[in-house]
Amino acid sequence: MSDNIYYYNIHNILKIKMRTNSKHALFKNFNFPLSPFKCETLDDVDICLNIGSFEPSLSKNNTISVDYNFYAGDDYLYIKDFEGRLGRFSWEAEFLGLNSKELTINFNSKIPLFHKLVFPDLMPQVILLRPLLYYMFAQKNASFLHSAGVCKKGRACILAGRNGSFKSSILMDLIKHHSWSSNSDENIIISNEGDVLNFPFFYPLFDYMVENLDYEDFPVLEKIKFTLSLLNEKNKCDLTSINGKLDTILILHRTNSSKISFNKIDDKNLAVRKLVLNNICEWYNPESLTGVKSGRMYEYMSMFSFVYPQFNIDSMWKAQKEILNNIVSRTKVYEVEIPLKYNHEIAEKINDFLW
Amino acid sequence: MSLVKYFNIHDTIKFKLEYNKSLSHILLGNPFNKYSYYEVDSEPKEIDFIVKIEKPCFQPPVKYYQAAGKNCYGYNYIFVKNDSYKLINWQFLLRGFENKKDVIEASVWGDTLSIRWIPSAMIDFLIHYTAVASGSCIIHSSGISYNNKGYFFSSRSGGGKTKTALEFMKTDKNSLFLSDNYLLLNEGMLNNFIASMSVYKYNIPPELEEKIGMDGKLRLLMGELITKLTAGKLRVATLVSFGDLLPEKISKKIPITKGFILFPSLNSCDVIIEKINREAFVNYLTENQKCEFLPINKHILNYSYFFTENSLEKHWDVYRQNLEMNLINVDLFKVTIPIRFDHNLLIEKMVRVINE
Repeated sequence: MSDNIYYYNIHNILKIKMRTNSKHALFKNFNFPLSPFKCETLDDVDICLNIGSFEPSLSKNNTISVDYNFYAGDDYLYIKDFEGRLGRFSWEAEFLGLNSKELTINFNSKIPLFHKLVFPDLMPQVILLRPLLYYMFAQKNASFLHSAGVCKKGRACILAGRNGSFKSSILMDLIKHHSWSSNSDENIIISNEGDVLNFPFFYPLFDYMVENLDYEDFPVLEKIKFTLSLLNEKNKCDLTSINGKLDTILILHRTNSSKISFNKIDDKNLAVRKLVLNNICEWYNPESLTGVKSGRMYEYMSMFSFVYPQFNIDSMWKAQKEILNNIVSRTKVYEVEIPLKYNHEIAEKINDFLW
Repeated sequence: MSLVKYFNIHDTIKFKLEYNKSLSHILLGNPFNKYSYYEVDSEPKEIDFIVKIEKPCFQPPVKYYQAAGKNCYGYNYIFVKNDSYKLINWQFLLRGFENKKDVIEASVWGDTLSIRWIPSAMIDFLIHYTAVASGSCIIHSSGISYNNKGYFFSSRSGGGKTKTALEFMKTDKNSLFLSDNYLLLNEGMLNNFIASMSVYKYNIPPELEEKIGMDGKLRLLMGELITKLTAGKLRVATLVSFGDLLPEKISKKIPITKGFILFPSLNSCDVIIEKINREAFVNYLTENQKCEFLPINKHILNYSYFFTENSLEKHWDVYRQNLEMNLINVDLFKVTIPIRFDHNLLIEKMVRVINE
């Protein structure tokens, strides 16, 4: 039985190798959310994700047991975790080389049959791989943000905000009615030179939303239609839809005010702090699609920090802070207050403001 | 029937707790008995916080932000509607935490099993938080008084805090118990923190087992059964209180003499006890403490995103300072313990260090 190996090259900045022993996935596009970055082969990968049973290398490293379910060693972390009252989902994982240039993640899980059929390999990609990208990109002098990005005529803008701040709705409107382009509504990469780069994750989902929905709200009927549309694979993700220098950063706050307002943030440290905190909060965020209701990366890294306080969570975000300091110092940053209820006027005002 | 209880922990932390009795309290034990050692009859002056176990009612502040579902963050105000973190499904309202003078108010609610987590997820956090505000600090440690000197043993869970403290007490009949889980450090003294201990059938010390009575024994068995049925995923602890079982063996407070942090190691073959400097030790204790409050930390981070300067986030710096102040002139050790190691040999080695 041979394993399937996939290579992903993310804008020549980060290279990922994924090995899995599962053979079938009903929804390939969902099982492989990074598929737009797929390539034939790669040398010198930065992250290696192996899915399937593995032999933990507990004895090789100087490992300390923490809270029964964690083993932390030099540059090493082993985790046993579960979700649901009776542990319907359970998994074990190990990280090798958290401090080094090449990170290896081994992952094995027991998940319900439905999930196994539909997207057997999705879980490690959303609960382990994506959260670590915030850290891994920073090691490569680039910034990975929990933000949407849009571009028009070589001018790129970023919309950062917590979940529910209408990033996706605004993006959909900007694309449909104001001739901006994008396919990245969740995450975006900023290179050291200030280029904004696409990061589509589950791109068929956002594609479908732009084509068929008015807002980011997904009614049940549309969910079914969307699921059916996934059965015909199509590959048309444009990785250059955002192609330009960073011009403006909008930090979106959903608040109980009656109308939208724009306030310039002159304190660049404050802007950086907000962008970083917005990312850190994502370590806690659920990825309900996989059935896991709370993000665990913060917990995993906290347990690691206990054994190695010199490698604590603050230090993990330090590199990103420095990169963002550099980026933000030459960018306009605004805080945008958005009313609780969304309407198309909001996107119109944002378009007027940006253009 | 609503119960109102008042607690006073060493005149440093004073709080009020309101809850209704429920069937699960009878079956699994009342989780709010955790603090009963510190219960007082009448309302203490200058209460620090009030916790009500009830469905929180959203009274919108003048200005608030919404994030991650319907959670609302206003200045000095956090309203969380249906959040889950691992086994906890809860909702809560927390306010009055920005100014030291204010009384912090929390309303917390969840399903039957989640309510059992409220003491550790919310009340312990508020105890810790108000301790920091009053210049002291709570550490995740067990502690004993041995030859009239105070020693504490910190670790993450599963590191052997309780066991080490109890084993020490066996070696010297005059030694006294301070805590198995948390300690209050104030002005260079270890203050006891007698809360109900979470014990399981496999780890209950025999001297306690013989005192817990029939209902305690039944609960132990039930807990073990649930653990077995869920293949070890769900641990239902039985709550026993050292304060009730062995009241004569408790010390109130004692000067801090030596501190240990325990690391259970998979690979080392021998106990290694090394003296470490205060800064390194404080780092270990701070990270340990941070791990204790992960469910609420999620909302502190979200709150900090909207209100970048705030007391909730800043209190960790103060915590560190308070800890450093309390550990001046204290010898601090890191102890690496092989996972399968004879505890008597460990105690023997540690007694040698203590008597040095």
